[in-house]
Order: sequence, then structure tokens, then C-alpha cells
Amino acid sequence: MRTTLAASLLAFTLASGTAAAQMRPMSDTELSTVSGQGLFTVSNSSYNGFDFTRIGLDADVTLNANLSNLRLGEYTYAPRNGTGADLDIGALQFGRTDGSAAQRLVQITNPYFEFVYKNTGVGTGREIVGMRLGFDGIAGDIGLKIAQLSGAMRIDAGAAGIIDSMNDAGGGKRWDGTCAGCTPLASVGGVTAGDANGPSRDFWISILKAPVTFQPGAGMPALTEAQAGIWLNWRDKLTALNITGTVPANNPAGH
Amino acid sequence: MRALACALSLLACLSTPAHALEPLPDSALAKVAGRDGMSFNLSNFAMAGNAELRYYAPGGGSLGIGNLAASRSDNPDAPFADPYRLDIVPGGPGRADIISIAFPENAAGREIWQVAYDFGVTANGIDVKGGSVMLKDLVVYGGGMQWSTPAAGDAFGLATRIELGSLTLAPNGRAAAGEALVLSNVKIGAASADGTAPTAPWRIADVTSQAGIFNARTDDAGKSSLHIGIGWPDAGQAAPSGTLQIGNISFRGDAGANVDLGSARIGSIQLQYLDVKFRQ
Repeated sequence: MRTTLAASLLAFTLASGTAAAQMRPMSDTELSTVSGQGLFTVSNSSYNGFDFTRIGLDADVTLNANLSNLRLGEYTYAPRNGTGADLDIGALQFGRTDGSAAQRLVQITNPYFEFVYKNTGVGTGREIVGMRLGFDGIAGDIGLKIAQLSGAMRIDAGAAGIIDSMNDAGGGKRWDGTCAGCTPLASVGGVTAGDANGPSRDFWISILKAPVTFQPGAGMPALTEAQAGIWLNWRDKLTALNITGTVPANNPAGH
Repeated sequence: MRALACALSLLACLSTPAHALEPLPDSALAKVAGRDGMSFNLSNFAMAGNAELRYYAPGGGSLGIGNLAASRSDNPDAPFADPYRLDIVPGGPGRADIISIAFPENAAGREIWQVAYDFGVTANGIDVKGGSVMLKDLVVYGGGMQWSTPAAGDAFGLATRIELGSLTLAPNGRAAAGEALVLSNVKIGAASADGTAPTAPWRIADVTSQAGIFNARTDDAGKSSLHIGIGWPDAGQAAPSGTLQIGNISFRGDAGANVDLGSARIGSIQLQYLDVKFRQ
């Protein structure tokens, strides 16, 4: 009852702007199936000396979007400054409009924010170590054009081999995507996330002031330690769309 | 003398309509639509209190927000000249009327908000005080919301342009902000071709060309759920592009060193389709 009331109050708060618009009454049948409508999920946990508080959206999200000219973490990193940003991504496109109807959309499960804290050891004081934005699952075709990456990313490029930032001598920090004897990251015009067994389960971007090893999801192997700065993790079930560097078209024409 | 003539003339003009009021016939009334409206102002607005809004998740745990404080400074040169406006406007041929809520234009950027609240999460047997979130010098330039009634549910439009002096997350409370994650000089708005700071609201959804939708859905199995989405733009139109620019991201530390992660930006965000289906 408490849950239902809270959800109702929140829904009322969110919907209060629509009071004058058309509200559709729910039938008794519909009402009988509604109990504690899930909007958010929350959790607290501790791992490797850090405390984690997660707030997630209890939802299935279907998306088509184009993001371009992402430059995250623009500061001087003396060991390897590169293009001057932790993440330098020219294109990040969720979905494509040059293929089948199913390829137009990307499926995202339970997007979440997670805050990372650590006790300071002084009284009850705590420090904020950082936060991350991630998805429990993501499936679909994502166009990519990465100029520089700070992160743990692994892409199966088929006959062209595996592209893995963890093979970088710099540990994946400000990696320009090149490596000796392998296909460069810049050759990848996009990835297919997920496979017949389910979605990719380890996509997240973190903002950290110190390295943190996050907890892996259920059934997942241990995660690579995320480094300070802006860090992208994405290794599960990624296959290259192509190795020509061509980002698929994604525009609404003909949708 | 001329002033007296003008005054008499004005009086004559004003007195005439008093005799001309007459009831509208049904045919004339039928032509009246979308003419209602009101405006309201938040000049000198301020609030603070220890009330808490707590959401209880069906799967267990809860999320609480409390100790909200909010205030707005005004443009002293025109304190009541830039209100929020609520109007009913025609939706065009074949479309329902639109409820339009327009935010103050705030062209001079002198209507500035200060907001702070505490948040916490109780879950897994642990009551975590997440800390205080403080929004300093939040300036909203125009934008607003639209609501209308398509065949099912409610359609909405949303546009925004925001400049935020800083967003601070202080884990030990607003009185102990020496330890904090700070995002400063944050700007959100319509993307410009040259990547400069936005000067216009970003139309995230538009009732007439790329409507948002908010409704309850019942699937084939009879289960109902809340649904929020934004449809594809109308044929031949592109979804508007927005931008997010953060001047600086930094960690302040009482004990350890400060960490500066520099600036961050997403040059263009083009939301072409969104469908969010909440679970039961």
C-alpha cells in the first residue's frame, strides 16, 4: 500500500502539468494489475573498500539518437596527452536507418546512475570518489567514430581479429586506437551490441578522481579497473559492423 | 485647449463600448477556441523546509529527497514584466488545442535560481545519506512545455535552454562543501553550427512536429504500465539538435588533493526516437 501510494504521489507530481489535458481513466481490469508501478530501482553496496549507491530506471528504453563531437575530460595528461581529451568521439549513433526496421532502434535495459563514496576515516566523513552512467543491457547497431579512448573496450572484428584497448601499453588511457599488427580502432565504423544470447551487459562511462574496480553484473567476469578521469567500459558481446571506418547513416528520412 | 479636446474624445471612445455589449450567438461562440490564458510571476520567490519526498521501489528500498531550499532573484528593472505564461492555443487544422506553458524569456539572464536539497537511499539494509546537491546560479532562458491530446494519451512538447553556474554534490552536506564533486559552467540548449554556447532553447519534443507521448499502456497479456516517449520527427523534418557543455569537472577534497578533469562537451545531441516503458 505504501509503495502504491508513493508511486501514485510521484506519478501525480510528474503528471501535474497535464491536469487540464485529456486523462484516460483506467478500467477496473487495468487497475487491478497495477501495484507498485516500478519507476526506479535503488541499491547500496560495498566492494573493494568503496561504497556504491545506485539509482536506476526500472524500464526498457528504445532509442534512436545521434551524438557527435564528444570531448569528455579535456585536461592535460602529461604521460600521453594525445588529442587532449580522455574521450574524443566524433560520432556515437544509436541505431541506423540504412538497414532493416529492427536496425533502426537500439534497446537499452535499466539505465542507471551509480555514486561511489569512500570513508575518509575521520568521524563519519565521506568523500565522493565519482560516479558512472551505465546500462544493464544494450542491444543493437551503434555507429562509432573514436579518435581517442580512455577505457576498456573489446571488439570482435571477425577475420580482422580482436581490437582490445587492454593490449595498449598505456593501459587504455588516452589510447589513439593504434596497435602493432592489429586492426586500428579508427577502422571500426560501428558495432553490433549483443548477440543471440542477449544484450551487451557492461556499458558504462565513469567520472572518477581515483581508480575504482566496479562490481561485475550477474554472470559477468571481473571488470577491468576504471582509471581516474573519464573512462568508458564496453567489452561484452561487441562485434564490428565494418572495418572500413564507415559510420552507418542514421537520419529520419524514410523512417 | 487641445488637451481638453483629446480628453473629451477619449472619454467618448471609452464610453461607447458600454452600450455595445451584447451576447454572442451560438454560431459566434462556436468560432471561439484557444483564447484562454493566464500568467503568473515568481518575483521574490523563496522556499525552504524539511519536508521529504520519498519513493518506495516495488523491489525494496527507497529514495528520498528532502530539505529543499529554492529561491529566485529578479530583474529589478522589470520585476513583473516577464512572467510564466499559460495559454490555450489552436493546434492547427485537424489538431486539438494546445496547452502552452512558456517560461520567462529572461533575456537579460537576471532571473537566477539557487536550489539545494539532500538525498538519500535506503536499500540492502543500509541507510545512505547521499549528501547535498546544490545548484548555484541556475538561469533558464525561455523554453517551456506544451500539452495536447492526440488519439491516445497526452502529447507533450519540451524546450529548454539552461545555464548553470555550478552543480555541487557534497557527500557530507551543504555545510561541508569542502568535499565535493563540482560541475561548473554548465550550458544546455540548441546546438549551434560552430559549436559555440547555445543561444536558443533546444526543442527536445514538439507537439506539432515531433510530439512526446505520455500514457498508460496495456499489453497483450493485460499488464498495464506507464509509458513515455518521443516520436520520430514528421516526414521531411530533422530532429532538432541540442548541446551539453560543461566548463569544468573537478573534485574538491578536504583531506586529499583537488582533482581537475577539465571541460567536457557533447557538441550535438539529436534525439530522433525515444520510448521508455516502465515495468510493473
